Amino acid sequence: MSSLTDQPEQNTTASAASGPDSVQSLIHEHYQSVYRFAYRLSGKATDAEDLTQQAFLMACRKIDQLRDGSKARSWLFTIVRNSFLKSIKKQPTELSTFEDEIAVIDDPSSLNLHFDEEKLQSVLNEMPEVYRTPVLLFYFEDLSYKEISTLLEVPIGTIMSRLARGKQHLREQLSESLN
Amino acid sequence: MVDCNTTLQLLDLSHFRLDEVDESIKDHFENCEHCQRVSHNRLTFDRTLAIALVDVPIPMNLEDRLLAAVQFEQEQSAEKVSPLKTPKQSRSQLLIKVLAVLVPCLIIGAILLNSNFIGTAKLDYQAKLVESAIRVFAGDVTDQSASIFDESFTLDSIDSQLFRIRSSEIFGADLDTDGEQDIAGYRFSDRSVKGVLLVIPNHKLAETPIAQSPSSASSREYIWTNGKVTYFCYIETGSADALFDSLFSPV
Repeated sequence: MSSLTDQPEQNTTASAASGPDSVQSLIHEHYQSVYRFAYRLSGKATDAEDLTQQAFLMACRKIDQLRDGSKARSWLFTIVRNSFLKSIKKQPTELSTFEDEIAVIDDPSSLNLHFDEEKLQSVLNEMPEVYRTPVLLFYFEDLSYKEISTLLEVPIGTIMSRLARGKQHLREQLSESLN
Repeated sequence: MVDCNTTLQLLDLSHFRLDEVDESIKDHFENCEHCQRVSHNRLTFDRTLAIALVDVPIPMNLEDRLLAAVQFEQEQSAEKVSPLKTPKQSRSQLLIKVLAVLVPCLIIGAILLNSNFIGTAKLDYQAKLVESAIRVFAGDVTDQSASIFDESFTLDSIDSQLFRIRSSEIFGADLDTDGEQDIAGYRFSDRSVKGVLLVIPNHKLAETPIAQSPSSASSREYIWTNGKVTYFCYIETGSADALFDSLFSPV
């Protein structure tokens, strides 16, 4: 799935994070992916733009912490996620409700392959953030469980469970109209 | 006995990579048309969804706006750089930052005293260091005695690997109140380790270490000198050995 990203974003190296124009390089190479991730996470274009700007300003201040340029995009996604978490109010009941909804494991009889954009974002918005972020990292970055676990500082077993449930939820909800 | 549900769940967890599942799962999959069909559908769904998720229109001129915002941020930061020019910085903010670096002085001063690291000729200085650290710890500190490092001596480790994971400003302190800063330091951290590096000019010390590269003094401390200044690295969390192996071992 990483092959789906934009061409200019493939060439990040360690030097990109250490050169004199490093933040500018990061913007040039990653702003599209960062914006798209922020959009899918927040569900709103205006919020996504704010989160993207906050992420690059934070990157500007913390650029010394980026030691491996090949991980720049994941690092930026983590910053976006942290900013997003600060911006939302906690919803204490959402987790259990969501988990009850996806208790059934069976797949829909057929899977939809033509997604309505509005429905797609709406289904994402319904997912609690702890499910949404691993799912987005999986689809955007094709990261392994271990990488997602490290990035989010959550045990790998928890990530496996959340990713499986998150994907199941997407299959069910996005294919609902077909069945 | 492996059934379809188990097979599909495990294949889903392995992202449908057959080489990552048990032989029994693999055998079932290869002989089960249902599992093959469902797996194929899920894989196709995943690929299609990945394309749909990144299909988000980018706002016009977003890159230009981001570049402008970052440039503005950098210009603002550049205006704030000057050391000891902190009239706008509140006393409490300064104190928090100073404490972040100098609290370990208390620990380190005690270590130095107990380890005979410093000779008796500079006993006053040692006592002063510990006393000053206690004073800082208690909040009795002035802008003159501890502040942003004024470069009164050269931190030759400034380009070291450790500096790259710096997580604080470089602060300095005039611990013996002779009018010049005689200790500097900064905090560093990454995912697995955090601590503080302190730098003290050798002329302030009666006895300096022999090691010219980071040498373990204990499980949490590394000490070395470049002949001009002495570096004292104190690890608060994580492994000092692992950190220095990864940072300073020859490739």
